[in-house]
Order: sequence, then C-alpha cells, then structure tokens
Amino acid sequence: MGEIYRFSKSIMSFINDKLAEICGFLLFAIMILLTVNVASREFGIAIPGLTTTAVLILIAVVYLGQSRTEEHDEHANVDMVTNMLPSKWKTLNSLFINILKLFTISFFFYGSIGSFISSYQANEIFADVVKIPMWPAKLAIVIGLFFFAIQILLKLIEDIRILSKKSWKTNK
Amino acid sequence: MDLTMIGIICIALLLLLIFLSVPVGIAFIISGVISTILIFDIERAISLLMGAAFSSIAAPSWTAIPLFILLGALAVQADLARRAFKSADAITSGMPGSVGITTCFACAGFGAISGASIAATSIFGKMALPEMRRLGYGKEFASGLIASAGTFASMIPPSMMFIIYALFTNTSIAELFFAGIIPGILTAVVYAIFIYVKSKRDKVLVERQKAEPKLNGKERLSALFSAWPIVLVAIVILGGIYTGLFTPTEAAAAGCVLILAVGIFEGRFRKLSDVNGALRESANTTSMVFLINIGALFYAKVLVLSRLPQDFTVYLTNLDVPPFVIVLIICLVFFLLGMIMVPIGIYAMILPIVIPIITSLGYDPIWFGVIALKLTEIGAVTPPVGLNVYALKGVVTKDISVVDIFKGIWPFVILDVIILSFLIAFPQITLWVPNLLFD
Amino acid sequence: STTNEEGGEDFEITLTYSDHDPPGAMRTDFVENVWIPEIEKQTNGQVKVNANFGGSLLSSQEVLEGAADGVTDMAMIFPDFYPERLFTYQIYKLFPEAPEKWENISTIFEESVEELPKLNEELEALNQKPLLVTVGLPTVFGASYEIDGIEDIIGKDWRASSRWHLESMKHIGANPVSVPWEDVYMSLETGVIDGVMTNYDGFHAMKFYEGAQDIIVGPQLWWASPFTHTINLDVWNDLPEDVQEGILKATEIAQEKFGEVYASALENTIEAHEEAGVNVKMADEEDVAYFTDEELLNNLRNTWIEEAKANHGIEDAEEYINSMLEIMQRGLDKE
Ligand code: NA
Ligand code: NA
Repeated sequence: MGEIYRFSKSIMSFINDKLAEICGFLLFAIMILLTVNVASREFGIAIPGLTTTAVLILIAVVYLGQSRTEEHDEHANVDMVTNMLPSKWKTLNSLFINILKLFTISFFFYGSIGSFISSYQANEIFADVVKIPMWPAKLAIVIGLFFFAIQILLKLIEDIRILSKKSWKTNK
Repeated sequence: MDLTMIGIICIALLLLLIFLSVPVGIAFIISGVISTILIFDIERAISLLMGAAFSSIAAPSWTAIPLFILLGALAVQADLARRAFKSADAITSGMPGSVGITTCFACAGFGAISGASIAATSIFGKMALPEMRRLGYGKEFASGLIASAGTFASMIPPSMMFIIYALFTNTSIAELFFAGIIPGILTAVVYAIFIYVKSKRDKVLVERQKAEPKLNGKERLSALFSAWPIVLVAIVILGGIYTGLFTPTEAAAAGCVLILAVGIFEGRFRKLSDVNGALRESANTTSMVFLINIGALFYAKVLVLSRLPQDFTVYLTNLDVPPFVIVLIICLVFFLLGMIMVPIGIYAMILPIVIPIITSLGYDPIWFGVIALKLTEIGAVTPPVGLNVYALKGVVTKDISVVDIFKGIWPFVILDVIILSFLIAFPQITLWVPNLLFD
Repeated sequence: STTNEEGGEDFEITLTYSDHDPPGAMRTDFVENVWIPEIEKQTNGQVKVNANFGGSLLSSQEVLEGAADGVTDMAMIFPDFYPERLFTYQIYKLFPEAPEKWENISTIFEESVEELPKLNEELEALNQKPLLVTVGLPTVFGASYEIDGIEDIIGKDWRASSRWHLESMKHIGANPVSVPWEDVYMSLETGVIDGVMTNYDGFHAMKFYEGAQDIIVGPQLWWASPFTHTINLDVWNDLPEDVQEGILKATEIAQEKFGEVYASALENTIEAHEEAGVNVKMADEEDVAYFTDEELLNNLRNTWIEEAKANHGIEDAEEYINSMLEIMQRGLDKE
C-alpha cells in the first residue's frame, strides 16, 4: 500500500509541476500578447478578440494551478483553532477537512463536466468581435478540478496513514 | 424551509467552516452549495455554482491581477525591489519607519495606476515585506500595514469600485474619482504618521535601523541611482496610462515586459529558468486568490437568493429613528456584510435598497460613494473574509499566517474607523474637490 | 406560500426575476416600476416578483444557463451576449436602419417572431417563454474629439462591440479596437480609444459622455437586438390558468406603455447631455448611409446566411433575410 501511495504522490507531484509550467507559460503569453497589441495598435492594427483570449487564458491559469497550490498547502485558511490543537487532534481535524474538501471539489468537478459538454455541444462562444469558443476554458476547469480532487484525495490518505501509525503506536 | 432560515444557516455554516480552518474558497462553496440545495435542488445548485465558476473570472479587467502579481515577482527576481526600498531608506536616512512609510505612499501611488486592491497588496507584499522584515518590522505590523495600504488602490482613482457604484446610483464617475482623492491621501498620511510614531517607540526597530551601514554622500547618491529601474517602470506605467498609450490592464503587461528587459540588460535574467520561478509563483498566487473570489461571488448569489441581507437592510432602514441614525445603520450593514462578503456582491445587493433612502434623506450620493467605499476597504481586511489579507497570504513566506495578518490589521482598521467618522461628520472633506470642479 | 417582509401578507406564488443591468436605468426602471407592479396587480396579488438587478443573481454571462435550469424563474436575456446560441437574433443587426417609434419597432419584433420560427425555437430550446420585449435606446457615436459626421471616425480608434459592428467600422475606415466594456470609460478619458459606438442608454448609464463630449445620436439606427424578458417554461406550465392570463394581460399593458418610456428616455437623455455640456448632433441621411451601404450589408448578410445554413440548420436562410427586408420596409414605411 505504502509503495502505491508514494508512487501516486510522486506522479501527482510531477503532474503538478507540469501544470504549473503550463500556467507560467500562459501568463507569459498574455503578457507578450497584450504588449504586442499596445504597440501594433499605434499603427492602427489591433489584435481582435485579445481581451477575450486573455480571459480564457486566465481561467485556465486559475483552475490548472489549483492542485499544485493544494499540494503545497497554499490555499489560505484561518488556522487559529488548529494551531491550538494537540497534534493528533490536528490530524483528525485535517482528515475531517480533507473529506469535506474532497466532497466539495468532486461535486464541483462533476458539475464542470456537464458544463463543458453542454458548452461544447452548443458551440458556446464569447461575446466579442471575433468568434472565440468557450469550451477550452471549460475544459481547463474540468482538468484543473480533476487533479485538484486527486490531490485532496492524496492528502486525505496521508492523514489516514498518520492516524493509523499513531494509533498503532499507542496500542502497543 | 423558510428562506430567512436558510440564509442564517448559510452564514453560520460559513463562519463555522472558516473557524475550523477549512480553506476560505472551499468554505464559501460548501456553505453556498448546501444552502442552494436547501432552496432548490442539486441540479440548480450545480447550475448556479458553474455559472459563478466561469463568470466570476471571465471579466477582462481581472487579467490585470495576475500580471501585477507577476510584475512584483519579476521585480523581486531582478533585485529591483530591494534596491528601490534601499534607495528610499537612503533618502530618508534613518528616519524611524522610513521603509514602512515609503510602502504606504508607494501603495497610494500604485492606486493611481490600478483600481485593484488585490494587485496592490500582492505586489507590495512581494516587494516591500521582505525588506521591512529584514529591517526588524514585526511580521504582524508589516503585513497588516501592506494589507491595509493595499486598499488605497480602490479609493485613489482610477477605481473599478467607483465605476460600479456610479452605475448603480446614476452618479458621475468623474465626481466620484475626484471625491476619492482627498480621503485616499488623508488615509495614507494618517497611516504614515502612525507608522512613524510606532516605529520611533519600537526600540528593536530603532536599533536595527541604527545598525544599518552608514552611507556617505556618494554611497547615498549611488543607492538613490540604483533605484532607476523601478522609477522608470513607474514613470512608463503612469505616463502610458495617462497619455492614453494603454489601459491599466495593458500597463501591467507592459510593466512586466519592461522589468524583463531591465533584468536582461543588467544580466539578472540570462536563462529561461531565471524567470520561470516568478512565472510559476505568480500563477500559483493567482490560483489561490481566485478560488476565494469564485467562492465569494458564488456565495453572494446564494445570499441574494436567500434574500436575508436585503430583508435585513429593509427592516433596519425602516426603523423609526432620526436620519443620521439611519445613515449609521446603513454603514453598519456595509461593515457587517464586509466581514463575510466581497465588495461587488455588497454593492449589487444593498445599493439598490439604500441609495433611494440616502438621497431622500438629503445626503449627497457622491459623498456616500466615498463612505461606502471606505467601508468596503475596511471589509477587505477584516476577518473572517478579508480578500486583501488572503491575497497577501498568497505572496508571503510560510511563517506568516493568515491569523498573523489579521492581528496586524487592527491598528489600521481603528485608524480607518476614525477617518471614516470624520468623513461622515464633515462631508466637505469629500465634496470639496468635486464641488470645486463641477459646480 | 411565501411571506412578504413588508406587510406579512401571504402570496400564493413568488417568482424570481433576474436582470444584469443595474436599477435606475430606462429599461430596469420600466421593469421595476411598470411591468412587475402590473403583474402583481393583474394577478390580484397572487403573484409577487422578487426582482434582482445588476447581475446580483445572474450576470449577463450566466443568465441563459441559469434561466434554462430554473435558478431564476424570469430573466432578461440579451441576445448580443449569446451570438451563437441565439444566432438567429443576430439577424436584426443586419438591418441597421429602423423606424424610430416604439410601436413600429415592436411591430417589427412581433412580425419577425411570426415569420421566422427559428427565433422562438432558440428560446424554447433553452426552456424559455418570451413575455415582454424592450429595446435599448438607438445608436450613439461618442467621440473624445470634435466630430461633425460619421466621416470623422475614419482613421480613428473606435471601440466596436460585435463582429457586425467591427465589419461596419472597418468598411467605413475606422480602426476598430476591442476594449472591455468596463475599461471604456477610462480609455475614453485617457485616449486609448477615440470613440465608442454603442446604445445610447448604455452610453448614458456608463457615463461615457464624461470622456466623450462630442456625440452623434442616430434615432434611425436602432440598437437592433431585442431585450427579451422571459419566463421558464416549466414554471409557466405549472402556473394556474388565471395567473397565466394575468401575467399575459400585465405584459400587454406594459408592452404598450414602453412606447412613452422609450420616446421620453431619448429626449431626456439628449437634454441631460446638452445640460452636461455635451455637444449633441443628430445623425443625418449621410451618416446613416455609411451603415446602409449596399456592399457592406450584402457582405454581412451573406456571412449570416452561410453560417445559418452550415451551423444552425436554417436551410431557408435567404428567405429569412428576404422576410426581414420586407418586415423592415413595412416598418419604415409607417413612419
Ligand atoms: Na486606483
Ligand atoms: Na472582511
């Protein structure tokens, strides 16, 4: 069991790294495109649909980055109470929270699939001067939330492992 | 179940989940989803959530936020931020709290570039906080200062929130912009005085500052000169915006490119990996901040459905009390909602109810625009939902917790409340500039 | 039954209404002060409508899905935000010149819905029954520099809001620029763009005249897209017959009253702008001609026909255009 867990963890770590790389690249792309547009507009040529493209990219950055942020425990919380708890209770609280998170993000993920499919089928586009499809953004939501849920699951398993080790120790 | 009851459950659940240290964005989503299921059913809960999941990010002006976060990260990576604050220290030469005061006014200056408090907070959290801590500022004080000063971006024009306010109240955007200038600068000055006094009394801080190497005239000049890239970026961005070369969003992108160019010119950026870290880090912060934003905007919609805030406001403003008390009650509503909601949600929900009351009582809606904005600024830093505090958390080192930042904001919130009461008692402070220009 | 907070009276039915525009503007005022009270009156107080403005419940991007799924019972749907899913509604944009009186405009909407079945089918596919139709004030050209006629937009940076407007601007010779709606105010003030072409009520609500002090108002150039106020079909079918009748009656009364609102809103807005020191000109025939140029319109209509056939299953797309031509002509003849 431990082997599989460690293996999954390192795979997720790798995926998160790649996702972060993609997000970074996307940010870089927005930056360059917007700057190029400023320059080209001075010559009377504006890139049509650029603001919408930037929005699409932003959505991708936001969702694709969720799992790495989760991996590094960077989702902001108010940890006043947990800091006062003894370590075993801390882990129990964390277990409880991770179960809640897993339910929530799985629910969110489930919703995003339907949203993506209907957007794709209806050929949903942004309201702009050029036709930019919405489905890539919605696909990014699906992918981002999928890995987010997996990452939470791994954290949850980690909590269970810590708890079972601890109870094993106290039983002994 | 009764809608009001669901609304109460919705708020209680949120507070409970945040108290149990559930990540804030997720706490919003859980309590919102449960409440929507209670109001409707699972399908419609999904529909509302997915709508918010998309549209809460799909506003073009949001694009500026990750870019400004990136700008801060690149400035740190290129070692421009440290040099800029060192230079500020050199100018003021050992004045107590000089870096804090510089940060405070830099936030005000950034306010003239962007209307996004989150951007201001994360950019200075990235650039100024490490320098302040190196000089011995306590983590609570330093982070509280930046989270609070970040809100200047809303009050000092241009301001997205004023534009939204104008839209809801049929007031002039230009008048609101001008009305925000004096309260914005006043707050910065009051903060600066406080920082000075507090730093002067802080023995540790004074010692640390004294221990800094003494600079002679030549060194001081060179420290001053070494800040040129940041000065250049500031000039290009401000100049570019006000000469109509680009929009604030584009300014953020152009600023990043400029810092990149300086970094390459100075030899700081030689390979892709030199900027890769900044890119990833900014993407990460963006993910974190926007999950909260998504949750908050979804949650606001659920509260709209419950009608609790609207009913509550209608009830309170119908009380048989003098007009002045009604105004105070309205301020209280903004303050309370500011604790759990983001400004846009509050404006859309409450302004349609209170603006007719404000104007019928004979108060100037421009003046109230400034009051409302001041209240939402306070709301942006107060627990449990202070978006600026979370944005700051996204860029600081792990040893600073959200609770530390919340502890640090209190002195500034108290100052804000004092300033707010002056703005309420003396509307001339706010209305002087717009009346001068428009009447 | 639901309890109302003010009087504690019991209503049998509470309906939620969602509108993305803020309250206090021409249309939202009309909905809030005319249509909704009329519904409450005509249903003898059986129905209470909880109206949510300013996108507080559903934003312009969310409303279609939210209305279809029943997150809101009633909604204002603006087809311009859904250029693909409400594709047929784009057809109005291909006929820039229109009558100025509301009665004639509303006849155009009525006749087109009758003759072009796809219009209603698109809404039905989204589980919507159209009730009320309103329209924005006609087109305005707001410039931050002095303009005497449309020829003065040539070579300048103008903001266009749809692909059809983009094509028109290109054809005329302006540089179309895409600036997000919420950035337009600042962009006009600072000079990122030189002008904006939009609906006059939106122009007024967003205070664009503070940065664009030279404007050409074109009452002949309607804003074309109907603001469609709908009710969810499931909700509708569940309503008792007398309530349905009451709502229809109320809508009919309101629909008629919109004419006064529309006409006076145009006058009042012009007056307010002149008072604010805005240089207001009215579009003349020459200005209109730029937008009714045959080559331009043929191109736009051919694009629409191609897409209608290829992507939207409207085999008789040419017929649609021809019918619209006739409907528009009849409307124009009445003026
Ligand atoms: Na600002
Ligand atoms: Na707060």
